[in-house]
Amino acid sequence: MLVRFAEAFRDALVPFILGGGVLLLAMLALLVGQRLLRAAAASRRRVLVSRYGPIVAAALNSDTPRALETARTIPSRHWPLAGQLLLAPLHVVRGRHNARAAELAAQLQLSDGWRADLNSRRWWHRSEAALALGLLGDRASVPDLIGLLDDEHEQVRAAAIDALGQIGDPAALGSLLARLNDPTRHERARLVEALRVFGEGATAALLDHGASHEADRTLVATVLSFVGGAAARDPLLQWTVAGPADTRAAAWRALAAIGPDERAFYHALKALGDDDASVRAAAARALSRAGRGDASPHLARLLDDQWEVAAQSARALIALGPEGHAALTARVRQGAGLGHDLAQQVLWESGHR
Amino acid sequence: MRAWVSQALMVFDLGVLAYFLAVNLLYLVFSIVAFFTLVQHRRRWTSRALEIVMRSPATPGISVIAPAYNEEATIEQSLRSLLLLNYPQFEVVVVNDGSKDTTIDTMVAAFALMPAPVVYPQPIATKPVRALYRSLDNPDLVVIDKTNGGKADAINAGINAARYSLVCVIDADSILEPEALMRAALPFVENPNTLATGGIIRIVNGCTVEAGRVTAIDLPASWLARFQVVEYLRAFLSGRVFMSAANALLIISGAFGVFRRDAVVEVGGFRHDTIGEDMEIVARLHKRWRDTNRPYRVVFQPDPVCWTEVPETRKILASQRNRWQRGTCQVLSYHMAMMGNPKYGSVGWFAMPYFLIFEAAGPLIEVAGYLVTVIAVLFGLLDVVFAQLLFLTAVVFGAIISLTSVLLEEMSFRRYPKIRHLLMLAALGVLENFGYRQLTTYWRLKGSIDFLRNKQGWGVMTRKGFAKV
Repeated sequence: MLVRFAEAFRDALVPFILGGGVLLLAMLALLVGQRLLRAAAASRRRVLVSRYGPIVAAALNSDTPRALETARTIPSRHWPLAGQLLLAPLHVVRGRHNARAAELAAQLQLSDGWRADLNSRRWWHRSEAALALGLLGDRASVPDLIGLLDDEHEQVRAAAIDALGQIGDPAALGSLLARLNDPTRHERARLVEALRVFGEGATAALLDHGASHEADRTLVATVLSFVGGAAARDPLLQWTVAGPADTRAAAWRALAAIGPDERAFYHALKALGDDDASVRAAAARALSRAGRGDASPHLARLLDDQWEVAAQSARALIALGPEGHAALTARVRQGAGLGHDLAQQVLWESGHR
Repeated sequence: MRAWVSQALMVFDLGVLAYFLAVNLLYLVFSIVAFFTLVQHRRRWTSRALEIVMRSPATPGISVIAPAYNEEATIEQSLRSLLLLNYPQFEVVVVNDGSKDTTIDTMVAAFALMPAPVVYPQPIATKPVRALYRSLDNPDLVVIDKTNGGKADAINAGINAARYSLVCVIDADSILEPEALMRAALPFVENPNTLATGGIIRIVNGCTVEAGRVTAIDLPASWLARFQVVEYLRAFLSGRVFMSAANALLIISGAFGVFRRDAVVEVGGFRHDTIGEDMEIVARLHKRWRDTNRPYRVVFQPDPVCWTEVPETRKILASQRNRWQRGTCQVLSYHMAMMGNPKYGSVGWFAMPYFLIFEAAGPLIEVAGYLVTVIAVLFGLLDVVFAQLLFLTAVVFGAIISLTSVLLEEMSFRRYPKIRHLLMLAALGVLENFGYRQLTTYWRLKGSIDFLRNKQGWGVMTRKGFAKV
């Protein structure tokens, strides 16, 4: 049996070697051939870009109708390339829409193509189309983009978030906020960026959302710390008073980022005595932004608290000017302990040895 | 008697043959899966998409940990390139592991280091930290000076000092591409269950390096290093891409890996009584997360590139391969409990047995195969033509696999600019079967034997430094 197997194997060897050799040569040819094709395509593209680049740029930047007329002469088979040339400068000025770009895209039937692509079977087409429409600020496609927020592919969802942020249509805010609980940080990152492009307009919507969805408050507060404006102060202050500890801490962190006002200052002093360490730490951080030296004695008391609280207090003290420095120096003189080390470190870092 | 011996030899030879077929077929499967994974991957992350994610304040910060031991020749340049990395929130923690040369003085002079108090909690036990320095020139640079305790101990000390939630472990002498951190951090951003990611290691020998950046890519001048280029492409683009797709990745190269700090702290940091600490920590993460039934993933990212210098002399390469082999054997022996155990999923029934059979025992089987074939031919039990045919088959099969990985590289990253490079890489895939492969097999065999005889120690890697060659 074994012998027969060995013989069959032996007979198979030569065809295998020959076949393998042919396969090897084919792979080699593929390797070299595709390189050559690529080089040819790249040089062709360079020629086209140098031909159409100036035309598209002129159509985008000049006010004369003639520039648009010239752009219309681009043969239709090169419209996709013109589309790429058209979008390139828009990436740089994210969120500032160029009416001429939209006009040109409509003229070359690019916008229609992209709108159709939003329902393409291939996910990368959907994603590219969403991004392009976002850059053009195409309000007509907002409903479709909202639909893409639930796309099966994460890259498409992310592109839709991005595009909606760029278009800045308030109608989309609700749907965007509903995504706040999305499990992947990747989308949350884009969402924060999208809300940032919305600017202060997003603050009110975020606050409404936080008011009606108590479970999302921590998240909303975190987002507010990146995008929030002065209008968020009062509601945030309310959130610091009651509710779970992580919401209170997040609200304080948001207040620290926005900058606390008079009322928040006294609330923060009170929060320094909170039962939860993360709340105390966040309140200390908020005080560092208040710029009032009279907080120093309160903060100095926390220098030997838990590390997180103590570190935030030390940072806050160093930010509060002479009174803070005095408190820190006093703590250094008192000798050993966490407070001593932290005080010494922040003094050292800020150049007071 | 003769018939009996002949039968025994034939059975043995068939065993070796089965091994050989299995290893090549597996690699073929790896390559096919890798192809589809890489094509998907390339579509996903354009530089622009990356940038949007990275500008977001919600992106986690990274502490880059660079252990340094007697690196006075290269430390300044490698640090300068590290500090140039393109990432919104990161710091570089250099751990001077009790160097006997002037590593620390070089850094103090070059970066205006000032001693600072050591006030952070140290959850992982390490050899005592002598001093902490911060740079007055660059707020993102921290230097830890500690008593010598080995690479793993140095990494642990760095993890203790890390400020951010992700730690990136690298060799102080490797060069990261500016986008590497971003690309390596992506899996963590995408999915918070990610515990660790590793990037691809590419070979810097022969490339032009200016101011800590690789500015022109070329193949090494030395043949020994050239063979390693193909070897690395094969290992990373086929092997690791596949393992990662199966969530069975067991190695994240010590030259470049990103870990979740809390996960590493939870399993107690890197282990210092092993030479394969980079593989060991990954195995331990797998074990811990499977034991506690938490969802997790360990990911290989093919596009964050770390350039590293490989040995160009036989002696140093031999000691490196010997060390790798001993490391693999050690880690397998530590984690025997996972071997074949379906409780540990793809790691238990696939990755561990794969490493045992093809990595730990592989050289043994291969060398035995060569020996038996030679003996059989000498005694006239096997005819010479058949032996030659067998060898030729092995060469063709090996060449197909090597060329596949070159094709994978070409389809996905296309780093080597000239057609000449591609032809050379293809030729190397054939040539390596005549000498290089046997050499590495021999070194690995010695490694396995040394492991069985319980030998320790690192071997020395002398570096030329990246000064323009």
